Amino acid sequence: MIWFFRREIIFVMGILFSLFIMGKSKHVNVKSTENANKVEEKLNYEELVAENIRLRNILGIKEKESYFSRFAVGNVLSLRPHVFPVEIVISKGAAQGIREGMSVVSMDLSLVGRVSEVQKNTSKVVTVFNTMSRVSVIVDSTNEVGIMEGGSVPYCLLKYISRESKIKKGDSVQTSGYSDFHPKGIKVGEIVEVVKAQDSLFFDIHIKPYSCVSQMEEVLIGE
Amino acid sequence: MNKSFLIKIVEQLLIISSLQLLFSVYFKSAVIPSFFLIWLFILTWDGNTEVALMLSFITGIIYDIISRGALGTTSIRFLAIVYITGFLRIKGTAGRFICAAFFSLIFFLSFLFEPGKGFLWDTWPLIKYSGIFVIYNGLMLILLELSIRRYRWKWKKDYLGIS
Repeated sequence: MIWFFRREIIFVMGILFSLFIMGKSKHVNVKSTENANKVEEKLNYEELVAENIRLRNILGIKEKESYFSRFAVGNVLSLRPHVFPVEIVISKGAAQGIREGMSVVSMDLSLVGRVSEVQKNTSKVVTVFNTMSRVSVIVDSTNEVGIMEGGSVPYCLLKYISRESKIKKGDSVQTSGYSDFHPKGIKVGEIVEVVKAQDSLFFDIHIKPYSCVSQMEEVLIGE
Repeated sequence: MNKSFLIKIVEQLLIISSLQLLFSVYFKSAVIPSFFLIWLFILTWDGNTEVALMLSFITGIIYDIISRGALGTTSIRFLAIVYITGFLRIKGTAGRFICAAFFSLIFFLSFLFEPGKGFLWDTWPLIKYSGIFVIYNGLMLILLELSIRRYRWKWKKDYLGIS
């Protein structure tokens, strides 16, 4: 009888094990934040050196840019999906003062996204590639304000820029500060394409985000 | 499960894991084929569904480690796909290609679907990148099948002493 349902038994057991690992990995993530020193001991020397350099750079940024000194540093625990991630999980949560809606920036201080869900020691971040992402941005060269939407990977779509605008390829874009989530002046990306859409009062503009989310190891979180 | 079969499976797992790792590091493309998924398809179609189900769990964990995903999520996807594929008896290469393409599409889209919110990419990028993933996986399936067939034929030839 059992042999007849062997496939189903293996399937159910596999699912249960996977769910167990999913729960366990969350637990490990929480533990790893709490006992960072213990984890560091297990890393190899090269990894430690690389991490040291990265953290020194972040420290340098935080010292140079006084505004970002208030930001917390978090590790990127997982990406979803691996390419142009729409969601990342970071190693900082409510216990470290993280709140929903906080901005997340990369090590080179360009926008990654905003915190969408907070657990005790981890948080979910909606990146600029997510269709749910809407960011109020300003074009440096013309000072025009538009809304940057995610979803059109590998770029983001800048909307509501008038067809009369002098906007051009290569112009850089930063956060406008008009939204509730992101402070003013965070670098966002560079305009790579300006399309005159037919029967529309606005340009369709593609922005290439500066932050390479899939390669990221650490991020800064704050407001 | 005899010893030689187990050794063969472990050998294949090592080769496939190395291929997946190498491609994820050196393949300069936004989308990387899933060698694990293809291998699981081949195992299932060869009649080793139970082994494929067990390996779905292991390869899913390895895949999540390589692609920095949340541990366990890919295992569930692999298990579901292999379980369904186990009921399909497909012999021809064309049929296998279509089946692999269909399930590869489901696999890719599942990463970008959020219940209640829909897909987290716009339609056009979704079609473009899932299309690339499907083509890559289809091509890899054909390549892997051909190399496995060649290996099997060589083994049979040596075993039977055919010159």
